[in-house]
Amino acid sequence: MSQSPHAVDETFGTARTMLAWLGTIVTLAIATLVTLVFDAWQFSEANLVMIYLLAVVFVGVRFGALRSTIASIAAVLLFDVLFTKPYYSLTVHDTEYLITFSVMLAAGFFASSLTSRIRHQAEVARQNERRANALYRLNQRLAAISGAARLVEHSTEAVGEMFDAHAAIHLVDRQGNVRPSPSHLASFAADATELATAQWVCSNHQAAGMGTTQFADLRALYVPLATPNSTIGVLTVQPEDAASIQTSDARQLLDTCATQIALALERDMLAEESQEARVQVESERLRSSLLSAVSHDLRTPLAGIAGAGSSLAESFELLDDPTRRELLETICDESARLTRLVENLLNMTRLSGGRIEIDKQWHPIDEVVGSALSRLQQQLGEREVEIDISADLPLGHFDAVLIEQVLINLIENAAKYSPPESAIFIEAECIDGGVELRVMDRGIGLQAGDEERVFEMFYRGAEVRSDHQGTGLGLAICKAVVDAHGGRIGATIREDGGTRVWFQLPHDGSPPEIDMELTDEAT
Amino acid sequence: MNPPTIAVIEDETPIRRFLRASLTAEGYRVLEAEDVAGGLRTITQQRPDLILLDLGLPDRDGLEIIHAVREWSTVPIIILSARGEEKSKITSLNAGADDYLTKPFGVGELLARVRVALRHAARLATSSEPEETSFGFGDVRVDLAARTVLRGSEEVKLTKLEFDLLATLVRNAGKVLTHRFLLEKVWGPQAIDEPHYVRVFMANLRKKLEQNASRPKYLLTEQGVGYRLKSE
Repeated sequence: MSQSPHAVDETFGTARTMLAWLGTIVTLAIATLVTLVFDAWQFSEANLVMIYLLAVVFVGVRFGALRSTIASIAAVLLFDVLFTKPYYSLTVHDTEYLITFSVMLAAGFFASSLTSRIRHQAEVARQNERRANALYRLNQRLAAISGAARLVEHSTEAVGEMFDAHAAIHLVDRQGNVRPSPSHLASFAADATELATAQWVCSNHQAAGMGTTQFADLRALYVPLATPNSTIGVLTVQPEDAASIQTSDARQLLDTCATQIALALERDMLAEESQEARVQVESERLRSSLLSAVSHDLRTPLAGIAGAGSSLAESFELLDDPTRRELLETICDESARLTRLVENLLNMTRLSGGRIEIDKQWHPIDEVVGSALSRLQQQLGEREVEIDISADLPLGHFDAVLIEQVLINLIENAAKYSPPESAIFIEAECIDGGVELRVMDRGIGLQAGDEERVFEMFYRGAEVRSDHQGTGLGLAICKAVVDAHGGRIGATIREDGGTRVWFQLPHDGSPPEIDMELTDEAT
Repeated sequence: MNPPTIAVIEDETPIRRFLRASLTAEGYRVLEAEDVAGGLRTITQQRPDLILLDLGLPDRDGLEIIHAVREWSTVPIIILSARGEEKSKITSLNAGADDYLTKPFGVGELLARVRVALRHAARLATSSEPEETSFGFGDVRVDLAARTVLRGSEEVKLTKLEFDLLATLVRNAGKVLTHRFLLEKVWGPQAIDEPHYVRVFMANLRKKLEQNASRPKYLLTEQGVGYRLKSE
């Protein structure tokens, strides 16, 4: 893009100019040769002059006005010397030739000026096309990306290419102050002058710098990034060649670019604002569903405890022993339920708040399965549990307290939603260096389509909604824990009935060696 | 002989009330305090036989009581704490507490811990007497003097370190033992940062001594804290 619209005015010295002069000389030489041949064939002088005329027009079209003028003078001189009497002299006897000369000069001049105009128009058209393309590409680029920083980066790059310039964009913050461009692509320094000018442009919603009426002595042009509502930033362009942005076309293009960039940035800001609003609504919704779930689930056991407690306190003497025992057991059972609920809630808030610290250590898998089962002793009672842990399973790298909680939730679910006489299966095996654990039951199973949703907070399968034991938090906690370990969790319907919930903990380095010096022989 | 005295240092009145009721019913004498200052006063003046200590006290950290008491006494201290506070449990145990109870807990669990702690303290106090050398759980019989382990009537082959680990558990039967404690006792101080040693050896012991290694009945894991050999 080093060509300016004025590049047609070629000057001496460049290779192209030399070539043009050479071309002019060659053209004239060829014309002279052809004329000599025709002259030998005794053609009339009026026809011979046409050959020179053709040559001059050709030079005009091909090599421009300057050379065509020189060529027409040279042609006249050559014709005069070579083909008019007296030969080999500049003297002109027949005044008719003067007319021939004038016509030749005029024709060459017209031809060259016509050509140069056409060429200039073509150049302008080409440049317009190039800029239209660039603008189109800019729009395409801006439409495809989001995020203010990336928009700024791409815009400055595109504008820089378009005008062969260093470009920068300074955005305005909410207080209306220009913040220096964060982009490394702002290849000229955002110094005090730059920022002050940008601030002026923002405040006055008007371009400044080179080629404008304001601060015209600056080496860069400052264009406001204006949206219908406000100026959101300033586009600064410092071209390699000052002329390239001073034509009205270039300025127009630059203004169009500025508008496009402003619109893209505004679109992005609006999208971000609505995203923020959505997140807020989402967290409000979460909070309110948490509250409603909690208030219901907290009240139920509390009602039981308060009821049983108050009947004991107020009517102790009137109650027989079995009734008293029953009421006491109610209090114990309901407290246990309340405990589980509160623990789940605390876990969930800690996990979703990102406040939990994962303490990964190396553990044998069967140990964490065992400790989960022993904490569930009361709920499981005599329930049959089949455990299949492959003997060659390596140590796993995880937070045992959290993974134990995952297993507790899964086993508890399996126990709760399957017939008491059916067995629960726990399997563990090594897959791709990581560990996969599965908890399976022969229970009511999932509804098709629920496989993903059961891991959502507060989602409860249609079959279990009526029972008051669950909170819709258990599996969400499992997912949060497994996610925090970089693993995956899923639920599937078993072909022959029941549910399979599995989770994978990824390969996480090699288990530490057991130092042989610290091990020993049998005593 | 006087009934053992238990100091309850806890700021929540309902919990104090529940502890007093159940401990008194078991024949213990109960002293109460509701903050660190009151607790230390009670302990120094009345010299209880056991301390039940809540860590979240209103005036200062309950941990201070452990540090202060351990300066001059080996009186058993049982921590009352909530689930999810494994770090503070370990800190307290390493500072010299003997055991912990996770709130909410039942009376059965409370009394079991208290009995184990008092028994252990009594054994330490009478160290002049020869150590009980035989200990049993399930169908397993451990002879500390002969360094033999019988399962039913058959002898179980244990490596030296496996036996040392088992012996440490047996000597502290019923008490929770942190990974750190076990590593130091069995492997020596240089192994303190290798908790997987204990886990791997524990898994071996379970395979040799438990009916079902995946559902141990005696060699129990206290997740995030350590191990406990069930004693009753």
